[in-house]
Amino acid sequence: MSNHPRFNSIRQTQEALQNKQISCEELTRAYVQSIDEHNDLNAFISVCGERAIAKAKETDSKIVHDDALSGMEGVVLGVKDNILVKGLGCTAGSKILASYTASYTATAVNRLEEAGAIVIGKTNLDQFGMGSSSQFSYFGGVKNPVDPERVPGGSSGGSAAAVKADMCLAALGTDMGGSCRQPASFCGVFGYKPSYGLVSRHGLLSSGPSLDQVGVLAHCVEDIEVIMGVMAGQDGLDANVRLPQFRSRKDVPLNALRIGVPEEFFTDGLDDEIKKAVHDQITMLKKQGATITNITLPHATKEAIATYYIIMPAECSSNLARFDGVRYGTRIEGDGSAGVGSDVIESYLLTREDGFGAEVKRRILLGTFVLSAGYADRYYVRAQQARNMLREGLAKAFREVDIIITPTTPNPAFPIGSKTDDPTTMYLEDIYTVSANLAGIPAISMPCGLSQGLPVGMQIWGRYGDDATVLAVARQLDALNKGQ
Amino acid sequence: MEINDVKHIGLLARLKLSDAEASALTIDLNKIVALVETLPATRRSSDDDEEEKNEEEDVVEESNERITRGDETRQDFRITSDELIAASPDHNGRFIRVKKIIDKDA
Repeated sequence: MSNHPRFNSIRQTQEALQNKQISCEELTRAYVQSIDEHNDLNAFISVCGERAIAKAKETDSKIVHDDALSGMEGVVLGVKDNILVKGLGCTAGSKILASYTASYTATAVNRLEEAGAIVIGKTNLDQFGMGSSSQFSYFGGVKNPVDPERVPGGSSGGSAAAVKADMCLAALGTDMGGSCRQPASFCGVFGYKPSYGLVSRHGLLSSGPSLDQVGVLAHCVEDIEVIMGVMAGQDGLDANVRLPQFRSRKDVPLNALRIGVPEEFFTDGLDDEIKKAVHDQITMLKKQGATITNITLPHATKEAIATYYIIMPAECSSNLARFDGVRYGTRIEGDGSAGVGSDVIESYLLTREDGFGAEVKRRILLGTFVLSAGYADRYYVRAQQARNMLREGLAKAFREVDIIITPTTPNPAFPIGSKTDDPTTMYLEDIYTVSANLAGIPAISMPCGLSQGLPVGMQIWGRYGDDATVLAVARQLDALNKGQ
Repeated sequence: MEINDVKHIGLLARLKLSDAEASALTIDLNKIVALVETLPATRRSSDDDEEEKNEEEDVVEESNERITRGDETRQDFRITSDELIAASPDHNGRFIRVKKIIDKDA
């Protein structure tokens, strides 16, 4: 983007296109060039430059005729590589799907493309969305644009890095346990997980179907609201979409806003500078007249992690059973030398062993274990009970408050190569984010300052289905931060 | 969990693990199981207000319903069998080729 103006919002981009400050083709070529210039960050698994430029020319022809731009026209978008786009590869970051080409397009992408969005490529991720660092990709780890020695977070680390480094204007991610919010926090952008059932998951290679949602990474909240306005809503191809169409709301009267601050999120283990940054944001809202209430969510941190790391692997182990080398991706036939016979079972065993990465195998094994006879009651059933307790606790809290504010992560982005010896230390990165997935509520991470010179994020949670309030408060708070 | 347990679970999960891999995974899985073992048995407080309790239970029921509802059969999503067959790593005309299902020599 070195030779072109830098755009920070959809509105700004469409104004520049409409005023013929730049053509959509030039803009798209500039993003392709930016991806090339930032190749070392490894944010994209594949780039579809020619496809994107062809689409950009369509937008240009509209501008020539002085038709007003609307919706997603001229918006160059990255799409996480676990979301299908017909004709493009979809690897989920895994060797097992390295050769797979999507046969259809996900509803979310389809709606955005129909509204004029220009998909520029597929962003890198931890295999099948399993990870908090974007280092567990078969296609190599992603680097954080703010400090390339550090991770960008995960699993939507490619999407966060691509937005931060201006390789696209916005990007789709997916959020199973914080996978949009934690990378957004580490890279200094906005990351949003909608309420469960607001966005269709048709065409998403979902690992945890009761947890996953398609989310958005962007430079500003307004862009998230525009994208949600297009992407969300009923879809006959995903019966889980049960919420009414998303509509953004005007400013929330902050002097009537009731904010809950859960004490469990501000205890030992939270970085001092993050704690201060989040408290500064709360103070700013208080100055606007918001009521701050200290609340308690005893099931929402360490207990939620334990709950999550039972339910999620259980769902993963079932969900990933379909990747056996028969219907998609790569296959290893075997020659009978593996010691497990010489029939189709040998092929399954060898294909999956070769195709899945270490973290995916860990979770498949754990999931198989917690669902196995004799252990299901001890683990899976207990975790479902804990999940219900968490939901009840949040329902109780939301009777007293309108939103809940927490830090997004306990620490800023960590160095590449750290936290790899013990998987549980990596899992604890999700300690502040997984509860929103377990409960299905909307959550956004917004930049709120620095720690050790690195970006940090603050989360806003809302009632189930009240995404508009969460986004409106984030938008207003961002404006206050920018002195607008 | 011992290494043989992990290998056995691997076979159930259709993963052929080498000795070295099974050994490393045994260490990892024991750490993860220790983490999830911290989950306490959940009990509702008998002091909770009955009305509030019912309201919160409704929230839970609704949450479960939106995840576990039945699928409806849809006729409006069309993907051709040719496209599906083409996605398979080994196919011949209208057929997906797989290795023999039963190993007579096993």
